[in-house]
Amino acid sequence: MIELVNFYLIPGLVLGAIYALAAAGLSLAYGVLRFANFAHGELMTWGGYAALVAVVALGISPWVALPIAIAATIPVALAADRAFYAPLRRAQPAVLLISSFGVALMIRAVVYLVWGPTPQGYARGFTPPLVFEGIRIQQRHLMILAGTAIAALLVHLLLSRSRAGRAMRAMADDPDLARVTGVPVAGVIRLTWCVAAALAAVAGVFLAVDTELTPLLGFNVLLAAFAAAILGGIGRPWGAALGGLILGVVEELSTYPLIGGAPLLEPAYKGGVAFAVLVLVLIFRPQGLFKGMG
Amino acid sequence: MSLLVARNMVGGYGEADILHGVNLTVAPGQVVVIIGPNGAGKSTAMKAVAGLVRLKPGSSVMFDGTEIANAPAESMVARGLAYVPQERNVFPSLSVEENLLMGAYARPSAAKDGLERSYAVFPDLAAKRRAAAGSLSGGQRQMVAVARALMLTPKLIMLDEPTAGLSPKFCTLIFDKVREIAASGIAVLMVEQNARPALAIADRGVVLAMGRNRAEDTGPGLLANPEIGHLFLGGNAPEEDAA
Repeated sequence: MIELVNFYLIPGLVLGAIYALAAAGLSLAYGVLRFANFAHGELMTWGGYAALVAVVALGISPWVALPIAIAATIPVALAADRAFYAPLRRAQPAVLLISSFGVALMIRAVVYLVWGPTPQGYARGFTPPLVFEGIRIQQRHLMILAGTAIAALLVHLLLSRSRAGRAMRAMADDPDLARVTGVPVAGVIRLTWCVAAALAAVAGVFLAVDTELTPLLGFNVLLAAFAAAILGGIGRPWGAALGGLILGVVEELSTYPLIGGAPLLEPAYKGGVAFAVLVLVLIFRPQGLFKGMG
Repeated sequence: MSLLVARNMVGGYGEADILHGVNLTVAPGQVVVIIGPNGAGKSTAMKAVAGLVRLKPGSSVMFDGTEIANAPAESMVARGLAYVPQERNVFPSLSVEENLLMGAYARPSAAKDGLERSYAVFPDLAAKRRAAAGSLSGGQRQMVAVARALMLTPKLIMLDEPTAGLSPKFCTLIFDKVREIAASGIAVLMVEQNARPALAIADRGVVLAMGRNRAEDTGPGLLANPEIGHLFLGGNAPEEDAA
């Protein structure tokens, strides 16, 4: 039983936390801007590499580099919006989706040019895991879980308590009504990009801490993040975060040797679990799992 | 001195114009009702004033002494011009109180006073302040929408068919509130299908047809006009409709 917790549940929660951060940003941008931003994965990657620069140049830990990663990712998102999405604001969502794919390829190309294709890491030394009553948890995993909880709390406070967050939710509900109510639409859109990019950067750094930095870091989890966002009912950051946690845990548990000694599912197929869950949700609960729960 | 003077409004949504030179005048504290058949351009005229429909050159919308034709819709609230659309006029996932607070977005310092006044005018909303606006009945949503538009005490509030789809009880309530609003010095411009009861509380009525002004008079004057009655009010004498 302790093995289930140590080798499946905790890694599942960690992966789920990263999915949750990625999906929350994706879902937030979708809610306000009404299109699926395929460049979200590349924003994660960008954040990961920005932290690397800070880690190498300043000799700090990736946790301390988080604000730098966020500060480096926000301008990329704002520039992409200004240059590519703003002129297409009234276009069909499919047009924006494809243009975001183009933005993704551009950011990825820059990453390849600057940092090359070789996987890199934040050069951490070995830190022994913490042990409580037989439960072993890596320090970095604890940090990722705590960091995700803090980010979720901050986003929650922003959306529920602040005037700007209320305007973001109002825009997501009805952009035309928000406009006639006097909401400065352009400003709210910029703020949304700032929050989405910040969440992407944090997710990217966490993912790179947990695995390693590659130019496809974010793209590799983008589809799972979409699945999580849809699972939670797209456009609802809280649902997306819960969807991410569920997917991460389900994905890891799917390889648990429940019957006999063989894994329930070969680990190679693990990546497909998110999509199997997604298909089931789309068939049986297309509005998402948490519709009507606020 | 008029508050709103729209002259020769020409415009529409795409290629085809819906408005072919509509004029609207509202004095401070007045209730003005726009009536007319479907497709006459009633709602479009109101949306044009609100900045939601593009007006062609030559159109003029003077509000409180300033030309506002084609000004951004989001700038209108700060000028003292509030607009309540007919449908989708609340933010469904926001609570009643959050909806009202959105009405004070342009001037947050006025939010607290605005809430107190809103709950005084619509006591039913105070009990529902934490409920999601999407969970309310049609009449309650209309109250939320009107209260939100009143948050910053506008000079003019524009209501697009505020009684559409409401029960007679709510219609009476809304018309009572319109008179109350006007009595407090806020002018009301309103599009109504419920023409008779609306004209009964109106200072002036404007009849639009085919995107043009067809007639204009005091509310009672239009009700008594046999031609208007025949064409636009169903042809019944006002007395028969009193019930």
